[in-house]
Amino acid sequence: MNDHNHNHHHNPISRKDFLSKATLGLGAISLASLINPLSAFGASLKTPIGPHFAPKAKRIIFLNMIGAPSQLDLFDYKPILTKMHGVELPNSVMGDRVTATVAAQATKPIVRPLYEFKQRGQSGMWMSDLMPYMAQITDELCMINSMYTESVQHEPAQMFTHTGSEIPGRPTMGSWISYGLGSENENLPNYISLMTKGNEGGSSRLLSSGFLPAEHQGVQLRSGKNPVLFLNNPPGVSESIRREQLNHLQKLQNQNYTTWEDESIKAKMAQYEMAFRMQTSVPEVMNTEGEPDHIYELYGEDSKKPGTFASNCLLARRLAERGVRFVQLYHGGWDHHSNLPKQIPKNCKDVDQASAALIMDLKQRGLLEDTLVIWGGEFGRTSFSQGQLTKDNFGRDHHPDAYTMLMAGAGVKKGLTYGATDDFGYHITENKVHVHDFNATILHLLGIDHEKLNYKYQGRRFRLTDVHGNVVKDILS
Amino acid sequence: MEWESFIGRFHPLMVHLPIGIFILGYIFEVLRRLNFQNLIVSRKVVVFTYILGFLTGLVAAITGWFLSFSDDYGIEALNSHKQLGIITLVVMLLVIIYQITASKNNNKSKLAASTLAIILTFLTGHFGGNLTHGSNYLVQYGPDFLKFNEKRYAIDLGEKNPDSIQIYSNFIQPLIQNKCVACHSTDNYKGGLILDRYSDLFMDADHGKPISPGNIDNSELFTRVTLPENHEKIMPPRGAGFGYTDLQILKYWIENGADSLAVFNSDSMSEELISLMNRDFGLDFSPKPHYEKVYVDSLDSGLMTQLRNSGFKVNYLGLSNFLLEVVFKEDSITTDQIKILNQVSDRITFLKISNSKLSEDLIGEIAEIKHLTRIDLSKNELNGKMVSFLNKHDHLEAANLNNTDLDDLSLQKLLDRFNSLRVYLGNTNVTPTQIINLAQTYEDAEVISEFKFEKVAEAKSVFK
Repeated sequence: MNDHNHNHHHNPISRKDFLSKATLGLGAISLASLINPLSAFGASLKTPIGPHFAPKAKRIIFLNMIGAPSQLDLFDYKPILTKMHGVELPNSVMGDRVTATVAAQATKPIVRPLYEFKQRGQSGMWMSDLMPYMAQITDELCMINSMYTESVQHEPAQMFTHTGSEIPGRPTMGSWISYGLGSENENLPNYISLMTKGNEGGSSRLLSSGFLPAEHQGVQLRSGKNPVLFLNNPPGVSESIRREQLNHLQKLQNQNYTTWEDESIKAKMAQYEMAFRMQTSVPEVMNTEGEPDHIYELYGEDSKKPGTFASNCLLARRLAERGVRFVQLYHGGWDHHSNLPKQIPKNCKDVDQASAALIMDLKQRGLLEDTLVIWGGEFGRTSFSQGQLTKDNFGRDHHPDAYTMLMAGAGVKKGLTYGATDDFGYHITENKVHVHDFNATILHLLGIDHEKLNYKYQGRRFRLTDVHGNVVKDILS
Repeated sequence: MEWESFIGRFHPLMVHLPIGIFILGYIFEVLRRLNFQNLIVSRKVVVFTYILGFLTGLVAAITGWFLSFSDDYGIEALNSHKQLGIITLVVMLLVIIYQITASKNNNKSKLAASTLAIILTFLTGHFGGNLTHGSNYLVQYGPDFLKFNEKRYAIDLGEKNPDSIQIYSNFIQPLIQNKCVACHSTDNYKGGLILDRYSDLFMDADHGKPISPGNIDNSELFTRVTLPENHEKIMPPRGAGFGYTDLQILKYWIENGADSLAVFNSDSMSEELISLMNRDFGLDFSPKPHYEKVYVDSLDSGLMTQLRNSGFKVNYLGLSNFLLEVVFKEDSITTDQIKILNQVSDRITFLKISNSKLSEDLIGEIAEIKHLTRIDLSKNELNGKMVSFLNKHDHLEAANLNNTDLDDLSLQKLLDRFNSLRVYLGNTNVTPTQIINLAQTYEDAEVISEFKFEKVAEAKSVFK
């Protein structure tokens, strides 16, 4: 990487422009990455930095459960909660940290997990009956029960998971990975996100490339006939006309380049060309009609309906097959402050089979050799009830001090349950894994030394893990 | 019964008498000088005490002379103690004579002479102490600025690659320096044992060979440091003994030949040692895949371009790992393209030629790929010849043979060759019964075929 690409104070874009470009709608972001002057930021996809060493994983699929699923109802089995159901959570367990939402609450009764937990597979990993499909593939999973994060609110915690900072503005993980590793498929963006229709979660800010060159921004593919907004030619402009137009533009830009020798001119043209190719490649990848019946059966009935989580999982596999570095699936609706007994089974039904199917489909195709799947949210939930605990209703509040993330695939141990929490699932007792550690480990699996992947901006070198993070070596296979 | 040694061993007992008594005489002399005449009423008291000190010093010297035959001490350190001891005795004698013969008014020069004798006594005593306890005994627990004499070896691994860390110079030598050489060195070889030079580790000492390469039971050093805590022969006799990780490293080193340049090798390390090295030194010795162990040079750029222009996607594994990942991008491979591929066959570790009309004839033309670890030949009409090709490669870890014509017999041949292969065989001619049979025979192998979920029943909530 040439150093002259790192500082661009001469660039004719104002701070105001930057902010408005970065916060426009999702479609605008994908468009912005194609035509806005930010892409004049030199560094091209073709000159990646790494991998620093032989990678285990070449791509990531992050099944991002927005809203924070209750680890106590799904993964982290605590029999004491059943025994002490309805009893006030002892102050000695809770400690000093109480969120504002429940501070005023008079009682904090312990709530048992809703469904029965069983040990599954040869590994004996605990999992709730709420996840009957994931429960069948525990021997492929690495379950980290000792995750912890900093913020107790959704947006900052999501931002923290993605960028290593609670405040928006830093590049997201997908952008860092794109910047660090470059592209495997010149016809598709490196960082693609998919959202469950009707259960959206996450924000456009989670696709931001921050101060990294704009071509590393995430692009959202939408369900339906127009997956990327503003990608198609306007009415009356045929493919050949567009091609001709680009050819002429290319000539002009080449003249410009001869005069100015500015690399950004070439980068910009590369983006126009990419957009042109995406007009073919995106519809091709989004069209799942050719998938055989047994695949639809594997992912579940929902997978035939565009926009569902299951359908997105199938798309994620197709994107992984085509070498897209970072695919992110958002599925919202996990924020069960109340009505958890009614809500959580619905959400599990939406994601359980498809998540497990994705992992096993990747596996049977040999793709799990070099693909890493991550499953989880931005924090955990409390072991006491938020609001009143009634005969058939309760809720759980945000809990950043202990939660669960799952990993599967390239480079992580299979069937491992890592880390532990106390009897109430409230504090971590063993092998703490901070979000920075988690991110450092992800980069490590991709062959990137998280301390070496940095970008100089406003006089300082930035990293995904800021100045923290230790690779969790214990979970590496 | 050995008279010499028997008498000699009284030396450490005797030496304290002359030191104490002579100091007492000196105190008396000083007190008299400070006009405490009513306390030390006569000069004769001083002279008498000095004579007594000299006589006990003579006894100490004689016993010491006997002890010097015992061969437990380094010549140089012993000689300086011996010579200084004799000089001290002579000076003491001269001081006594001077005290008796000189006139009453010469008090100043008398005290000066006595002071010299006292200094010499201290020095002799100190050298003697160093012989017994080691040269850093006195200040071992003192402030750092006093430890000019001490050579303490710290383990500093810095940024070294775990594979290039020499065990002796980085672990064994510092360990011995810190725990053993105070008493077992060229200066001071108790038990005839010298440990500060590598070559002497294998020389017979009084109680056997300190280290017998490859034989832990005959390595006296290892035996001594692993005795029960209160055993009379445990080493080191004072201070903290060897740590658990120290012992594991020592054992590993001895068992693997105790070479001065030996390095750790994860293949021969126990799981326990691997985890200890990680815990205590942050060194990662977990077994590495083949592609992380071999080194090849970067590819000639002309060859790289030729390969890329011939339908192959080529990537290095890492910035300093120049093994290649090669993917064939077109839908039909030709003999010419295979010839180009063959030019780099000794550098490839991951190869994908999928859905490329690679036939049984064509696969025969692919040269042996020395470092091949992963291959994807899916979606080609391949069977027996493919297995013959795969069987040429010693380091094969995973083979994606989905949608090929692989049959039962070929799979058997493949697993016979590679007992722990990950093999993908979805949509092939392999029968389900064969998969079950082979999975039982080859427990370490991972045979991956099409996946199907079991039927699930609706789960029941405890809340209605």
